[in-house]
Amino acid sequence: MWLGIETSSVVSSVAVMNESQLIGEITIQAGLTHSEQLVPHIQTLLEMTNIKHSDLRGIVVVSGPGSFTGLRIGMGTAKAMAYALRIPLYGVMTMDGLARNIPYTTDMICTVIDAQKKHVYAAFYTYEGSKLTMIEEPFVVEAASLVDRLQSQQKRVVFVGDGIKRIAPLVEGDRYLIISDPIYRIPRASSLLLSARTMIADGQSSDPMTMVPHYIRRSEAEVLWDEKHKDNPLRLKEEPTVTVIEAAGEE
Amino acid sequence: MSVYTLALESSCDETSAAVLKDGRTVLSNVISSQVPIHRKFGGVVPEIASRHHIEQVIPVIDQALEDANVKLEDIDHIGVTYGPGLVGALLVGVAAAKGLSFATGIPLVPVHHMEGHIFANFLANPTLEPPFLSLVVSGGHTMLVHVKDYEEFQILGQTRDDAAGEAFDKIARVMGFPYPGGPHIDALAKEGNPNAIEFPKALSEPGNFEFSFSGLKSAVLNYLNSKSQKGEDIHQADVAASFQKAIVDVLVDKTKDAAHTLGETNITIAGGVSANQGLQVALEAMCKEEGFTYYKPGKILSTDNAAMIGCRAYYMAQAGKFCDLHLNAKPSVPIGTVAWVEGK
Repeated sequence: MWLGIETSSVVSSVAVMNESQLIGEITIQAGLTHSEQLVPHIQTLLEMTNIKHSDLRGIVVVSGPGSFTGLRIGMGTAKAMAYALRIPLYGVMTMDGLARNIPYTTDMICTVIDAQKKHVYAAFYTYEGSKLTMIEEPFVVEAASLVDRLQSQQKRVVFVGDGIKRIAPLVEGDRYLIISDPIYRIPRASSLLLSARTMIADGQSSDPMTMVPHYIRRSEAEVLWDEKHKDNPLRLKEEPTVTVIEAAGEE
Repeated sequence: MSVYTLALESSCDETSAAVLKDGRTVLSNVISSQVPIHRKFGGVVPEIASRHHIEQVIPVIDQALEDANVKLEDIDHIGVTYGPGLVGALLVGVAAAKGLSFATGIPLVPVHHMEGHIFANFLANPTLEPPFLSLVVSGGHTMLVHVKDYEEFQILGQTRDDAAGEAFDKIARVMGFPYPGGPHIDALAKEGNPNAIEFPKALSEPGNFEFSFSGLKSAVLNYLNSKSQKGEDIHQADVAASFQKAIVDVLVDKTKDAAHTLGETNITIAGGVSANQGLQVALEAMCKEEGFTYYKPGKILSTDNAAMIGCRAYYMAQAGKFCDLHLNAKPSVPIGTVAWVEGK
């Protein structure tokens, strides 16, 4: 039994799945905070499906990109649970999960995740039979230039993800570019679990001691600082790290 | 049977985990500090802080348990700072604490960061018991708190604008010192004449336990600006000494006044600014003169650390103050706020 946690957007989604079937899923898009709702949702789901902690063989958590805070709440919870239960932890990219929402299409799937400031994190997928393949590494792009690029291809593309709010106004009436319906476009923990199947089978787990979100974007402060000091290569190389002390003996 | 507390702190730029035995014995207190990382930005960058917290949170917990030689299963309750602080930073600690609590069934205790600072005194001074008066001074807070009992606090007064630590850091920044600037002012002040320049002391009438440092901050800035406009030399050590004296005098006088008003003879200091030497010396001298007993936490216990959160959590657990898994981070929450769930 594996638990999936998806908190990369405003949607809170948790699911449990075994080797052959989806046991249950709670997906809520009601504007509630992940911080308050996530663990209670997991608790409710496990109670409703009668699954004990000891039944869990692993935890699959969204690794990003998406809302920085949302990612950290999901991952902070998942890491602590995996650490305490001593079970494997797996990280799945947000787009890998999202692409699973549109099964077995012959169209290209374009996942778009809101990246703020008119931008989206984009990635492309196609099916070869029942096998989903990413055909281009995720990238950050301005919504308008992504739409321009896809319009020029004159091929059918289906959009999924919360970046749709930036794409939809630009593709109205376009016969090739399809905006998926609301129930398909949101990230789901069940899709994340599906996506993690190969990873689980291959034993590609992550260590809760070292796992970090895949933000793609750096923090605004770092970008601005580098811009300000771009002419000073010595300062750009400065990369201080944390200092860890054991202070129990302090008087 | 001993009681073991695991505590987590992530309210600003330190990720810390600690294990305590019976509330007052610190078995481990692991602190991962990001101070070197934020220095170049001139202050704590919330997003960067949060990114380091999510990276550090499990390693500090793991090391705290290992250093204490205590297994997670043997922990009786988990205390976590839920506020006040940077919301994104707090959320990491809260999420991890809830994940641990849910996975293990170990009860969760929601700890107020500033109550933790006050409780650091119990760790540094094994014989200390309430009641006492506490002067709480940090980068975000300045207040006088009457600790009547382990579970009863009364705020006598707090700052209307800037916190004392904030004033220190801002003036230090203008004088060209790197973040955090407070310690630089403290060191420089030792070499200067504290009576060289008279800076204003706000709300200094007896019986007023509120603070205000924004006027002082403006006065120092104006002084520095007008000197540099006139092309006159600035005696930096005198400015630092005079500015520090203005803050310290206010803090010490109000503490003395409050102690007499309450009839309290035990005085404690809490928060990051308590590491200021000028303040410590003045407070100690005042206490000696008035016949008060002065308690202070050590250098590390006065900065952000999980041991103090653990001490507070222990007493809350004794009082049955646990929360459920809906706990959220609260960036600004007053001391004494009820975050626990009654009857849980």
